[in-house]
Amino acid sequence: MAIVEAPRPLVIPEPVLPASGPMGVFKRPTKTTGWRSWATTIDHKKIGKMYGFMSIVFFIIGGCEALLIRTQLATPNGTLLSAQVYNEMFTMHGTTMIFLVVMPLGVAFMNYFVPLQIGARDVAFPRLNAFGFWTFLAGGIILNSSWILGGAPDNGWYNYAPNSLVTFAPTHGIDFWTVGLLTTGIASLVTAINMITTIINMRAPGMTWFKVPVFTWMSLVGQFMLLFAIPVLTAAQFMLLFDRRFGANYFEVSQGADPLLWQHLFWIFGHPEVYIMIMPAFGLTSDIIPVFSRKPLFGYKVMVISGIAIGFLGWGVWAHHMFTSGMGPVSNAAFAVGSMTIAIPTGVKIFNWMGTMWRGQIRFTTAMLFAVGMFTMFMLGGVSGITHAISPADTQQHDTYYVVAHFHYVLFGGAALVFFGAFYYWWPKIFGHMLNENLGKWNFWLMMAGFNLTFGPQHILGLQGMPRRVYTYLPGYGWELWNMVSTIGSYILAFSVLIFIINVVYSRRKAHAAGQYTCDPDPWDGRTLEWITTSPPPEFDFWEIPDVRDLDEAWHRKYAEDENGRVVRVAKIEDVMDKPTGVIPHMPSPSYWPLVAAFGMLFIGYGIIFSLALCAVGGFLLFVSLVAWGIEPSTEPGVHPVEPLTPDSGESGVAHEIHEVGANV
Amino acid sequence: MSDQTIPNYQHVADGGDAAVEHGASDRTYVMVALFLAVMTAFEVATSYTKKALGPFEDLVLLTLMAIKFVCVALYFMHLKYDQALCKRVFFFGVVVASLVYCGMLATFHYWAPHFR
Amino acid sequence: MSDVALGHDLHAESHHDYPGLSPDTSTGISHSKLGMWIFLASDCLLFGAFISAYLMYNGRAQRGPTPSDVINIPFTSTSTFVLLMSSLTMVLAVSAAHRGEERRTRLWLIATAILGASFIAGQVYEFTTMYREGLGYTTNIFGSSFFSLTGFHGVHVTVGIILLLILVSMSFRGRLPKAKAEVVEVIGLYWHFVDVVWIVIFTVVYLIHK
Repeated sequence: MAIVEAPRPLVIPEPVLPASGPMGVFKRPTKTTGWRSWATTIDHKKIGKMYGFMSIVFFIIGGCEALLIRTQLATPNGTLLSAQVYNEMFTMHGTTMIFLVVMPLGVAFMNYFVPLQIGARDVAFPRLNAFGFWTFLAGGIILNSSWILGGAPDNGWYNYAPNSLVTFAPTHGIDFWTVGLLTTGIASLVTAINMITTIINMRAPGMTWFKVPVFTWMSLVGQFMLLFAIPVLTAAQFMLLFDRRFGANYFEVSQGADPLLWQHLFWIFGHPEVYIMIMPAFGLTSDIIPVFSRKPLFGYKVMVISGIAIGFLGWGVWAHHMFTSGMGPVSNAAFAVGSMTIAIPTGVKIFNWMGTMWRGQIRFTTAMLFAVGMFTMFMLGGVSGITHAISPADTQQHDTYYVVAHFHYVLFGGAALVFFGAFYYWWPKIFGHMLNENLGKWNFWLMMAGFNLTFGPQHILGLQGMPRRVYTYLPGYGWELWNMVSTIGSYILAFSVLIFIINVVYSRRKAHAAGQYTCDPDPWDGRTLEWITTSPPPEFDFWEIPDVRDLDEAWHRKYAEDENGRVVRVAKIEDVMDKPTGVIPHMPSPSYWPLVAAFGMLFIGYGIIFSLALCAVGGFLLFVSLVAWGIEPSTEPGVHPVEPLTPDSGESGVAHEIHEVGANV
Repeated sequence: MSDQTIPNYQHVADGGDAAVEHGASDRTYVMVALFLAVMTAFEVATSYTKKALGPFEDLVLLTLMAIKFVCVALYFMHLKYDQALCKRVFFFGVVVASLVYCGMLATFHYWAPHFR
Repeated sequence: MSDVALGHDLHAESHHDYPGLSPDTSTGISHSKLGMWIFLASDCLLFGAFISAYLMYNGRAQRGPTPSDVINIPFTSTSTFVLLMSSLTMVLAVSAAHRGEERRTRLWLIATAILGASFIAGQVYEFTTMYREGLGYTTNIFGSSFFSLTGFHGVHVTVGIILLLILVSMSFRGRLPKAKAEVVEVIGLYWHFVDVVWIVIFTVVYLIHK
């Protein structure tokens, strides 16, 4: 990890494979296809795809859990799930959706598009990036394996202590939760360090701070929040782990402990966490709406500054989750005021999105529909959020379905909707073919209908007094109708996700049957740098690092003002895009060690839960792989796995560029 | 133009010249270390005054601690000589941590127990 | 675009001609150094959580020894001094590495590792003494929060010692030339951070709340 070597000058006479790899254990992987290329890749685009794929897998798992919950609650006295299983189900649903779906999906887009948007060839620490992904996967595996290894966690995603101590939660479920999230936390931390360094340090020449695309900006803000939020959760989880496994007294009330300590630490993490999840979504919306309104983003600087303001204010509001915990009137008032102020920069964003669309030439493609859907639904969630900030009103709403409705409107309506939009927007760039627009519109409208049917009625249920986290209810409270509506909505929602998956498979088959593996580099008339490279981009992203002169560089290359001051198209994308130079940039070589290190983390994780002997195995694996990682050079001399993408650039006499990408970590 | 594959970042680098000089002389480091040792001695001595300083004892100790902290950060960690960005990133973390945790302790009435 | 040809040289010789300045990054700070600073900023919040938990629970122990029963100021002052001096030897190692004096770098690195190990030895002695005086990890809320906090710090120091030893072995094999002085510097940052954390712990936990 910290075993760093500065990039060193490489002398590359000719591409020859080395006889043996570093350490003499493994040959340095060189394959560019097959499973091995995925297991050893340090290419930010492949890692981004893997993040995206795993997020979808976990999304399906978490979605099935949600359907089980809704089916149980469809009618009074539901019998599908027992109380215990129901508790496990909502805990795993929340934990999965937050830590294994929304966060990594944001990271997937960041991984793929931040380097492209800032005109870089990879992230700052390519191997650390791979380590982050595999560690995230290890954490997800640990968490989800709890279903078959003795019971899932059953205490809610916030996992309040002392209710999570051994006395009240005797199974290993809570341990799986703690260890699984500690592991994904390590992944988040290294990814945050990596992304922040990348954005600060690898912007293309000329890309000053106010020429950085909004998605990249919001990723930076979100990753900074993550950087400071994750260690707080880590500390709290260590305390819980020590209490449960080694008999510490952090949350042992009989020993004088205060149960509010956990709540504070958890929400100091937990509130920034909601902004960590929504920040990339804000950025995506700000990138998609200008493209399909054919106007620059209204108030770009205000947009960036309001994002930063949310990043700061997000640190002073955590205790609004604890208004009913008896902190006292002064604390409640202070945090209520803090929570209300955060509505100001958020409101600014919503007005700016509307301002961008105002008098624009709007094209309602699927991506645009999702982006518009995002900010309308997010606004509804924001309005119910304001009602939570009023602490006396919150006393009524606390722990009711009203809260469930609120956070699904901001998290599904806000983050998840625009992530689907981003799939439609960026799919041609990633895979070289478009997603079907007709199916996409079905996807969107069914999702909107299903989403609002599911979570709209929960506002009413909450205000009628239906508590959260009850596994069933008696008839006669007036909850039957809206619960049934909500359940029907959830199935429509699930069906819309199915349409998305069908669309993915259908579009891919169709494109490949037609022999189409690449497509128009700029199908939407885009504005940012990812559109000036090929679709999909070459492994090294850009033949030439672009020289940036404007915000919305790609657009400014294509359009200019004529003598009458009207904006006219002056160039085709083919003329202004990145072109093969014949000089293949030298990229860092793939490596086994990030994967091996993550295996070490997996063993350590299970070891903490079951037997410390496994920890020793894991620790050994981790140590060996980190040392080997530190010793092997970032770029293996002589290995040159990059295949020239254009036939005319691969001829003899090609000079091998000595530019290394990224630091040696 | 076509062979410009190496990005030239110079025109976006902020304050590039500041970092060329690399740290202080070894003599300065020894002096700083001596100063830190003396500060530590003061601290320990203060804690032995048996509350002669009354409520100011904690204040004196915290001030000495802050001085030591900043000295190590500025001189040993080269923040004085490095680019301002490093300083900003690190002290941002220190400030966020201090504010957030002091705020948390405040909700427990830690700073004014008699209001409990 | 006249400085294109310079590009190669700038990169290859960056650590030679422009110490501390990486011309191939937007800010001039190298990736590793910036990454380390970002990590250290984050680590502040980890220690902050353990320190504030300790402060919150101070004086709430229901049974067993209290801080004034077990904390030994003269002894801990000595180990504090040792850790402080290890920061001095570390910074001297960094400075020697930047001058390209490999032998002297190695000596200062070894000295730092030895001082760090003495600190850890002191901590082990301190913990065993406290245990003999009746303060175990599970005894009371003070024991749990005290041992967790100082233990986490000790783990950080131990990791630092391992990193230093790796540097020393790299140096013996001639893998730490002047061009790589920044590796020493980045690991030095980590080491000094461990020192500043101890400055806070020593004052807040030992001196103020003894």
